[in-house]
Amino acid sequence: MTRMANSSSDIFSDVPSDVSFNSSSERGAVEILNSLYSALAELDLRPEEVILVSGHEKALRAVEPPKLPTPHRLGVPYGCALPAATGIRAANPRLSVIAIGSDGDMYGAGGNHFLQTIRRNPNVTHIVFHTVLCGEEDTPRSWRTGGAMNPLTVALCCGASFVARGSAGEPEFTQLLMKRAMIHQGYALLDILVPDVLDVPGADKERWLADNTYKLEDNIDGERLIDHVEAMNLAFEAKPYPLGVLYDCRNLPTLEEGLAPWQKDDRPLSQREAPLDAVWEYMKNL
Amino acid sequence: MNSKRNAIRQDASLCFCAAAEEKLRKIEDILGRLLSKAGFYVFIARRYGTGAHNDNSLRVRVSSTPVKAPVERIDYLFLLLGGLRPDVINHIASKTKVVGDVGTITRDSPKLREREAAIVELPLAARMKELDCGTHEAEAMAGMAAALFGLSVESSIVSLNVLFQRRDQYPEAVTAFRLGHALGIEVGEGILVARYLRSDKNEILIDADTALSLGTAAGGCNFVASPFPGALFDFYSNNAECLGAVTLRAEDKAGALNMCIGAAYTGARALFTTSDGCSVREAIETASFSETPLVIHTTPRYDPADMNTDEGQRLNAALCFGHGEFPCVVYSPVSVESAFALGTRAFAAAEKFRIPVLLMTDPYLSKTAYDMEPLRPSQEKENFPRGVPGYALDDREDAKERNVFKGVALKLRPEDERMRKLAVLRENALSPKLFGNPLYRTLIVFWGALQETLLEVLRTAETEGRFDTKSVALLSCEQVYPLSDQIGIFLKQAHRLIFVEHNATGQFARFVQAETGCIPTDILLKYGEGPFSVEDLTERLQNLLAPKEAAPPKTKRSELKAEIKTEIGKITKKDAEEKASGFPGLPVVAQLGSLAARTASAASPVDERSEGRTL
Repeated sequence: MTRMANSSSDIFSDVPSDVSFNSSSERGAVEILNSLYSALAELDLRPEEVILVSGHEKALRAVEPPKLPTPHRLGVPYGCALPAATGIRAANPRLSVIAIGSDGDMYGAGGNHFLQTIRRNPNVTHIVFHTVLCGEEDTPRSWRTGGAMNPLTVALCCGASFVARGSAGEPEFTQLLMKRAMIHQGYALLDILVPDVLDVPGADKERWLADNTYKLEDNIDGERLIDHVEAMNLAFEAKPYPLGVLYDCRNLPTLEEGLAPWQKDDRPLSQREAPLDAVWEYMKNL
Repeated sequence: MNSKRNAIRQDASLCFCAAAEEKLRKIEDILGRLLSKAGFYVFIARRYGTGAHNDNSLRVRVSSTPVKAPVERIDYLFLLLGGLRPDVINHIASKTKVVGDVGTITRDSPKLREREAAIVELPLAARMKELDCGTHEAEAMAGMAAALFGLSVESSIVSLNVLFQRRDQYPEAVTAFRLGHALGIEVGEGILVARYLRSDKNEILIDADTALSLGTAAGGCNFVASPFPGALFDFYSNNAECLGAVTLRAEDKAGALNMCIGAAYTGARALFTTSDGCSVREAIETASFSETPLVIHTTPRYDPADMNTDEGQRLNAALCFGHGEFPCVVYSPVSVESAFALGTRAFAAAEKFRIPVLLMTDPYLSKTAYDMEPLRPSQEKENFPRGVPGYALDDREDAKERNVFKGVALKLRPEDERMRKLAVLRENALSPKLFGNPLYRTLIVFWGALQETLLEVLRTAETEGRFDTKSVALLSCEQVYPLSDQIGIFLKQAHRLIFVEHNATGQFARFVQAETGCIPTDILLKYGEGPFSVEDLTERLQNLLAPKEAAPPKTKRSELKAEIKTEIGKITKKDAEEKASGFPGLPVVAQLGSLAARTASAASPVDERSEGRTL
């Protein structure tokens, strides 16, 4: 992730306390929003260098508090945030791209995009509000075998280079995870348990989080974690679910590194002229 | 010149049949390059790559003057392993000379004799086996065809060095080529083309897909995504370094299109190439509503679920390729030159109006190559600020929506702005091109890969006196949506309007009628059996335009009914006899069907001679 010079006027700052949200789903994203903006501020990223991509309108609105400098936002069809994020990075590797959305968006409608993006390994941070695991006991569902999809095991099987799990109940801890995911070179999955998104009457979601998760404190200090088997075992653990970095393998080749335009020239595609001479030469030599 | 050539022709039409696509591709590479470099004008029509292996064939038309349209006539038919292809049989005539290995020809000889073709059996397989080059049948056939046009074997091999070396089997390929060339000289009696060749021939042999790729590159395209390999995607992948383009292969169409949306959002000039862009309507609509400039190239892909091979059938889908009402432009190249120009223009229009632009290429055009003057890429470039970082986004629709949240009122609703933009697109639409007499009485309107065919049809009709071409003009529509206001002016001047299309229902004619109020007089349609050929279209236009002889008086309906009663009586009697003898059924039905058809003909006001339909 590119770090730019700090400028106090245009960097992200903490979310003010009087930010109001209109719906239950937006309320559920307050903790994540706090963590995200704090992480961006700590990384000295300017709003114009960051693009948030989502296939879910509410996710985009949630990350746009009215009193803050807003990053660029791109809304695409439901389930298609990851391909759009990949396209952005391929066209301009100077930008920091965060694909953000719910589990239905990213793992359901965008399930195949999720798998293929991991395999391409673009330098994209993938933040998912995971609601299904938390609502397991109350939510009607049609699965008959295997229960809810475990995105962490799927990501590890597909070869993801960074896999972590956060929780809306642990905002500071999740903020650290976000920073590590954004610093990571390559695809980084941060699956965040968000109980408040599910509006189930009578369910004590805060308590559910406290009772069913535990933190992997040892893994947060930035060290490499390349034991795939151990990561897989952690990913399979349930009730309590482990929170923290499960897998962090660095120096893997990224998508952008292999693309032809970036081999000799680091200008974004938007700043390049049409190759008229090359076209004319090609035509003459036919 | 070979003294055996006693019949000099204006042009020669060759056809190659094979089961393997790779062989036809090799012949196309070798023969196209050789003949074009030698000063001939070449027209190539591929009939392979469709996945239907029974129909693999290659048509090569060679002339001393420019040729750019397909003909049905076959002068020389070369049969490779796999033999005769079904779609070629109807084009074989008594003047067709069929050349091939003894084994191949023997298998197909009943069908060939039925068509009264001249058969030349060669011991090709045996000779190739002797010379240890048995796998190079394509090179041998190319050598044979080269000999027919008087090309020397040595010069051919020199100019083919590059091609042969690429295939890494140089000695065997050259041996096969020499063998074929020697056999070709033996075979080549009584041919071929008048060789008044221009030594200063400047034209290049180029296919429509390459022209379109180069056109888009000249338009600044630097990002290409596709769910599967295709001509444009392969071109950009192979030349990514010199063109400075990103090429990404996505998992599906939605993935590829959203990659393009992301890239275009940051300022890249993105091209989404696919088989059918209309299946990703949601994303196309997103691009339009977010004012993201994007070019979408669609061409049919041959798979079991997508058997509609005529691009002309997809117009209706292209005209409403999103859910809502939004501004967009649809271009359809009408020739190879047009493919290059529209490739560049598509990006300019996308940038200028910040819209998705659809480029529909006709499969018949995609599989066509011919000699044309090299086109110098245009210097014009519409570069409007957009994307991030460093560009303003304030006038984008989504930015305005954000302003709503911040309490800033909009002057116009987004829906109104979109419709206003559509009106601007209509004002700036590409005017249709008129060919022929500007004071025409009959106007032939077309879109898709028909321009060169129709031009040759008019030339042929004029030369052969088929019909009066002085009052006929052609109207070529490269932009099919939104239509230019000019088209209405052209149509209203005509006394007779004939639409020519590659589909079954006259989609463009109906659309033009809805837009302009001009009712087509006749519609000539062809679908499911290849493109219009020069001969076919000449005949069908002749049926419409040539003065007709007085038709014989029709039999009265009452007389026919009486005849039917008599016939039924006879047939019933005959049927009873047949049942008794053990052969019931079929003849009765056939004869009744024939009579019913005659009755319908007597009752119907439609002239059966005209294959066009009247709306």
